[in-house]
Amino acid sequence: MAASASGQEMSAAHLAVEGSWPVVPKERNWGIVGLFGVTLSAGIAAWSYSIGGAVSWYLTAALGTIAMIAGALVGMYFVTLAAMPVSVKYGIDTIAASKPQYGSRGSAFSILVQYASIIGWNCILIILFGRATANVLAAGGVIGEDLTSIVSIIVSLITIAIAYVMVIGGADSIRNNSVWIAMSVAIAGGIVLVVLITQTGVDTIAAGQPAFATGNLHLDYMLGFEILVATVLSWWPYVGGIMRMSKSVSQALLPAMICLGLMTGLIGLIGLYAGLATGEPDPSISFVQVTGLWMGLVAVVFIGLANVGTAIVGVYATMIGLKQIPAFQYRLSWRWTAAIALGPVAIIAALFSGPFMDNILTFMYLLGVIFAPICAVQIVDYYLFRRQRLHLPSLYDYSSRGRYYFWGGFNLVGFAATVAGMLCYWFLLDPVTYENRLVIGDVIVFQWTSASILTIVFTGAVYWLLTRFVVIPLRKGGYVEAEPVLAPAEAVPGPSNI
Amino acid sequence: MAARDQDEELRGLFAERLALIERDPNYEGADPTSRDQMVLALVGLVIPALLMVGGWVLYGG
Repeated sequence: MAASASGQEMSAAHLAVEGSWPVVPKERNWGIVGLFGVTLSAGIAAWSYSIGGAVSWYLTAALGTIAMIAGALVGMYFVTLAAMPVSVKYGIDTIAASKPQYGSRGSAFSILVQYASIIGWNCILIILFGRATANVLAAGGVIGEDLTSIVSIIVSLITIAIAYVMVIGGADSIRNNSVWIAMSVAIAGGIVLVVLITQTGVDTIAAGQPAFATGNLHLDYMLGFEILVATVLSWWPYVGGIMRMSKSVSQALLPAMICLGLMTGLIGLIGLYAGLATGEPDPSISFVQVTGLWMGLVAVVFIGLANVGTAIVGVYATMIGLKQIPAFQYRLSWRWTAAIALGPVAIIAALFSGPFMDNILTFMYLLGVIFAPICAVQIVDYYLFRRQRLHLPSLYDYSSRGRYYFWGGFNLVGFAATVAGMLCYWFLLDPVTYENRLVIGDVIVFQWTSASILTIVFTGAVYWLLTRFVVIPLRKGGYVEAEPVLAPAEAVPGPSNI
Repeated sequence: MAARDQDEELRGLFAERLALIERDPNYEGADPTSRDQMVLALVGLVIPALLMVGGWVLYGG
């Protein structure tokens, strides 16, 4: 009997950690070392090269360094405020945490955003690594130029297979692998940064001029800051899946701010300095040309470890999110869920890497537009209306009895505020053309407020007004205490209501 | 039949878990303390603001 009870407990813990069930504190076994390892291995990735490279278009090294670090911290502040406390408190992932704002069925929007963004980021990571490896081997004379394309694809597919093996081991595997990856990647990243600075010279980097400066330094300064804020906001889909394994906000706070936020900015400095000194944000090839093949290989090892570490955390977060889909909760094995999360990455890396990478900036900008409003809606709802208290059974109840049913399972106000926020961002800074449409007199509003910060304030205000004067008077969304309380026993998962 | 039994068992486990978390605060993680909120605001807002202003004063003007 005792053995049976113990087996049931293990089964429940397994379903929580590798599924959408809330994880209770005694099952959160990552600890402070595990949290630092997972966040550090996620936070250090070679996409930072592209981010730093973009900043080098507008700013010199001194102002770029400051804008990047400040932007990374501000972006992470909003993500942390929006997504972390609720995940830590209830042991739930990002998708479940978004149901009180978008509705029990409206959270499909969050699943879609999470799936699309993490698949996109993983494509970037995997393809970048494949290309860097092939380019370094070609620059070192190991392979011919004509073989770079096929070698790049083969390396990408092998990397996906490695990520698959690491992720099917579940949460424990993620934690264990992330710790050694984090240590290795931090050392390799430090070497790359130091070699870059000594090889190109501080004076060369400091004298490097931005290629696309607008002529308005104030505007360029804010553009550099905004690139980091918008990019770091896209940690939103990752945070819940990681932080629900933490027992307290105190434990999770610094790993999030330092390893996810600050590290994105610091590693991005490689792209900034390399971009200013050589015009190419990835320093791997210049390393081969100046120092020799061995240093190029160190740079490639860094990219490989950094990108695999980030990819497996992203895949894990996506898998947890996918488990929120009723049909996937019990019917789909962990291995198949991993395949669904990695399959599109393999297809794109093998067949469409060229067109995908040609549109990488558009992808990044569009995600930045989406995440600022989402964070705003979540912050206002959780702190001002819910008072940091959710009704847990309703997070798993898709019927009209659940508190987060709103209108047919969708909170129209949440979606309206999000769309308003996206339009606000677009007026402040067109994510594709960089045009600033909101100008008062001679003053470009964006250069004083940035796009993300004003969008967050505006979206939060819209959401507050609509919720206060529309949703609450209509007694939707479980804001009024008199709403019928759903007994926990009624919220039973099954094919129709998970 | 076995699959249905397993589903029933899982439903029971899930309902039990939700009930536990709902009625016993020990099954919840800790809320942010005042110190957590101050550290977050310091690292995420105050330091970046000082950096931006300082950077502009030193290199922008």
